[in-house]
Amino acid sequence: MAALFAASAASADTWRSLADQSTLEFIPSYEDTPLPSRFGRFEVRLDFDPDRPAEGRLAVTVWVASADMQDAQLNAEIQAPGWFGVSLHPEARFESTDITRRGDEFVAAGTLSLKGVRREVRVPFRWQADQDGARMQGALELDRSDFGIGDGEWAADQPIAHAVGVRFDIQLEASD
Amino acid sequence: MNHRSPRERWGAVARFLHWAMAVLILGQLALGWFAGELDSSPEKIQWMTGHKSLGITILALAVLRVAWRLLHGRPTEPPGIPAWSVWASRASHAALYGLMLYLPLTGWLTASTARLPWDLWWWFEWPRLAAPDPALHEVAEDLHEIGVWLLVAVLLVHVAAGLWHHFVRQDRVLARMWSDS
Repeated sequence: MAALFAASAASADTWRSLADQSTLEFIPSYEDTPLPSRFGRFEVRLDFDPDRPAEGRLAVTVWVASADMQDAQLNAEIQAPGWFGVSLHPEARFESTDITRRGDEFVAAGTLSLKGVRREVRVPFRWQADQDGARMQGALELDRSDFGIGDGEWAADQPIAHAVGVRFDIQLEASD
Repeated sequence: MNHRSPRERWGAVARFLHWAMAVLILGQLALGWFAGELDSSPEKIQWMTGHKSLGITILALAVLRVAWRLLHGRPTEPPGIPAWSVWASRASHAALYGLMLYLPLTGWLTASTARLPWDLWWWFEWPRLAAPDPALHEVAEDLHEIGVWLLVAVLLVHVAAGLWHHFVRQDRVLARMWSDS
């Protein structure tokens, strides 16, 4: 009986994202117009049981140079030291310290390392799992000035707002 | 007042459009070059908004001008103009009319296929001819830049020809675009 439960994918503990079925968006605003953009390359590793969220662990790695704003000039500019600074900081990472349930969804609290700056952030997500896999979706807002992204003449709240949305829809497969 | 171009003269509307657009087009060439050379910055965005806004304004005037030209025709050539000069005149003027539509349209396409929106004269958002598309943007931008070089070349011929008519042939070609006497 216990073996049957252990074998069911719905209670599998370790998950990894499926790259071609997952999206990670960042949404800057230009003169109050949102410009949904994507990171092309990222990885989510998750240890998670929805019945025991506190034992879970979420780790996300984003290869920042894969940022795509559907504009060749913008894509080149955001690599620069004043923006993402990808040559010195090629990866952004999130590591959770705690996952809690909040009503219908969960919140992973942890540390975001972005452009060499570490900040505590809370990542809410909704969770669905079945025998084929799992899906986590959520959104949060970050302040780009916390990380020195867009400095100097771009530091003001206009034309590029400080608030940048992040939105994710991750398809996960059971992994070991 | 009769605005129709009489047989040997340009009318007031045609003359006004010619010189007004000459000023705007020369200004636009300078503005496009200057703004294009700037490093990316919030100021560059403003300069480019000015360049794009002036481009659409020139496009509107160009459409008006072509319509006026089709409706009212042009004066006849003064007597004794050599045939090669007539041919050169027709070709360069056709090129100028074409370029004063081609350049703003390719510029509009270039701006359309970039990601950032922009407001016409900082007033309201100007629509896109196409959706943001990096590949199409590059093509449109190249087409636009080729047009700039063509315009500069034809303008040099145009200005030189005007001066040739006035100072060498000493005919009325330039004078009648300048005034109605």
